[in-house]
Amino acid sequence: MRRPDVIKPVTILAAVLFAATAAAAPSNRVFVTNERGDSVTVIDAATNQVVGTIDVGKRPRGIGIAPDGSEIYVALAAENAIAVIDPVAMEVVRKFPSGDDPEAFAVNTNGYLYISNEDDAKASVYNPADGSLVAEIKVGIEPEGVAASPDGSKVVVTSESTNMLHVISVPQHRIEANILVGARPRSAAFSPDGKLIYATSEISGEIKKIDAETYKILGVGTLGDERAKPKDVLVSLDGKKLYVAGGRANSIAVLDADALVVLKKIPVGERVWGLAMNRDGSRLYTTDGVSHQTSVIDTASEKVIATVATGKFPWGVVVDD
Amino acid sequence: MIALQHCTMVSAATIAFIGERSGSGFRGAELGVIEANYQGEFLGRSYTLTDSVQSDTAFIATTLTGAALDELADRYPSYAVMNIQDRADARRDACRRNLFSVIPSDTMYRDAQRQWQRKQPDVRAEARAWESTMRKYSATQLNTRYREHAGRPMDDEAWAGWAAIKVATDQLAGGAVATPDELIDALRKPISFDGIKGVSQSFRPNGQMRQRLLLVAGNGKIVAEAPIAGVVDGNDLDTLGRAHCGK
Repeated sequence: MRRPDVIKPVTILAAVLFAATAAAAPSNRVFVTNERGDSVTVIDAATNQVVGTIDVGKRPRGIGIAPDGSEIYVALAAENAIAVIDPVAMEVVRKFPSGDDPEAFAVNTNGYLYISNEDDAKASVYNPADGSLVAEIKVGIEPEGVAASPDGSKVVVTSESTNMLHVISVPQHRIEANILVGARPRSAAFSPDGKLIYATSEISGEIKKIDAETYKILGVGTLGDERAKPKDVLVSLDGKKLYVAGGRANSIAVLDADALVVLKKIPVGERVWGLAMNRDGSRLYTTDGVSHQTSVIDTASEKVIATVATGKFPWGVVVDD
Repeated sequence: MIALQHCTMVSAATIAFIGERSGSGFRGAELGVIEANYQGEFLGRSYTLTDSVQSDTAFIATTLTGAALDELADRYPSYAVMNIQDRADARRDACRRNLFSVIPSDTMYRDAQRQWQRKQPDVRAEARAWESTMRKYSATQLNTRYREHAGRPMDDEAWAGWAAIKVATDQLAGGAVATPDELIDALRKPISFDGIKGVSQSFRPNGQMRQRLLLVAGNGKIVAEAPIAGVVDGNDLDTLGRAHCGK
C-alpha cells in the first residue's frame, strides 16, 4: 500500500493523524543521529542518497523506532528529553522529558521506551504516547546498553561499571537475573529466536553468549585486536552470524555466532559505534563517528557498497522498512 | 527471583585498610567499597572496611609506605596487599608475590614525562596517574562520583585507592576465588581490569598495575596519554616503568 505524497501543511497534518491511527507504511529510510550536529540525517534505503536533515535538538544519540513504524524516537542528551519524529514528514512532532542525560534505549514490543540512566544507576520505562513514566528499575552503576527480547517479555540492561547484565521481566518490571560479564559491558542483543543473548565488553574485548532462559554463560569470544573496543552487536536473521562494531579498530567484525570466532573484518570509517540491519537482513548500516559517515554493507558479499556523508559525529542508526 | 547459581545467602567479607586514613587514598578506597557493595547487592556479597586483618578478611589495602609496607606484606604472605601510595621502584623490584602496586612507580612517572619531552620539548606538562577534569572513557562519571563522595577532586592517590578495591573485588565477584591466597593467584593472572583509562589493565610480574599515565599541561588540560604513540608503541603499556623482577 503506497501512501500519497503530501506537500501541503494541511495534508501533512492529516497524514500524521492517519499515521497515528493506522499501521504506517514504512518510509524505507535510514535515520542517523549526529551527536554534534544536533540533527538526524535521513537516507533513502533504495538509493543510499540523503533525502533530508532534521534539526532535532541538543546532543542526539540513541535512536529507535515504534513497533508499528509510525514514530522514531531520539534521545537528546543535553535536553534530558526524547524527540518524536514522523519518519515520512521528516519532522519532530513532539518531545517529552526523559530523565537525565539519556543515551541508549530500546523500544519494546509493548511500545514503551526502556532507557538506561547512566548517572543514576537505573533504567526508566516511558510510554511515548503521553510521555508518562511507567517504571524505574534499579540496576548497576553506569547503565548503558538496552536490548528487548523479540517477544517483548524481557529487557536486558548492561551496567558498565558493575560489569553486569540485568534481565528485567516485562510487564512486572523486576530484575529476574543478574549476570557477571567482562569489563565494561557495552551492548547486548537477543538472537532472533529469543533463546540467546550476546553481550560485548569494551575493556576486556569480549563477546559473551548467554542462555536466555538459564542465564548460563555458554561461550566467550574476542575480537583479537587490542584497539578494538566492541560496541554495538547484531545477530543475523538466521542466527548464525554476529556483527560487532569495533570502535577504533575501524571495522565490523563478522563472527560465527556459535563458536564466537571472527570470520572476517569489514573495514569501514573511523570510530564505528552504531549498527543497524534492514528487515530482510541484506544490509547493515554503520555510524563511522570520526569519518562523519554511514557505511552501507551488503551482508551477502560482506562488503561496503556505499558510504553516505552524515552530519557531525554520527552516533546511532535505525532503519524504517 | 531466579538467583545466580546457588548463591542465595549473603556472603560477607572484610577488607583490612591499614595506614593513614586522612588522605585521599582512603577516600578513594571508601568509594571503591561503596561501588563493590553496589555490585554485591546483585550478587549476594558485601564488604566492610576494617582496620586490622580478621578471620573473614579477603585482602588488605594500605597507605603504608617504605619499610612499613614491606613489613606488612611480609607479615601476611597469604593476603593480597594493595599498595595505594608508595611510588618507590624498590617496592616493585623486590617482587613480593602478594604485593600489588596500584599507584604508578617513580620510573613510570619519569618515563611518561620523558616520552612527552621527546614529542613536545617546548611544552611543559606533568605526568599523572589521574586527572579530575578527564572526561574520556567514562572518567566524567567516576570523577563526579568521587567529588560527591569526598567533596574534592579525585587525585592520583584517590584513583589508586578506588582502583585497589575495585580490581580485587572484581576478582571476588565471580565466586571462583575461595581464599585470600587464591585471590593473589587470581590477580597475578592476565586479568582485564577497567581502570577508566580506556585500556585493559593487569599486573606485571613485579606486582605493578599496568596503566596509562596522563600528561597534564599548566592550564590543567590533558595534552597526551602515555605510552605516547609515535614516540613509543602507544599500545604497549610496558614502555612505562619496569616490567621485570630484580634491578
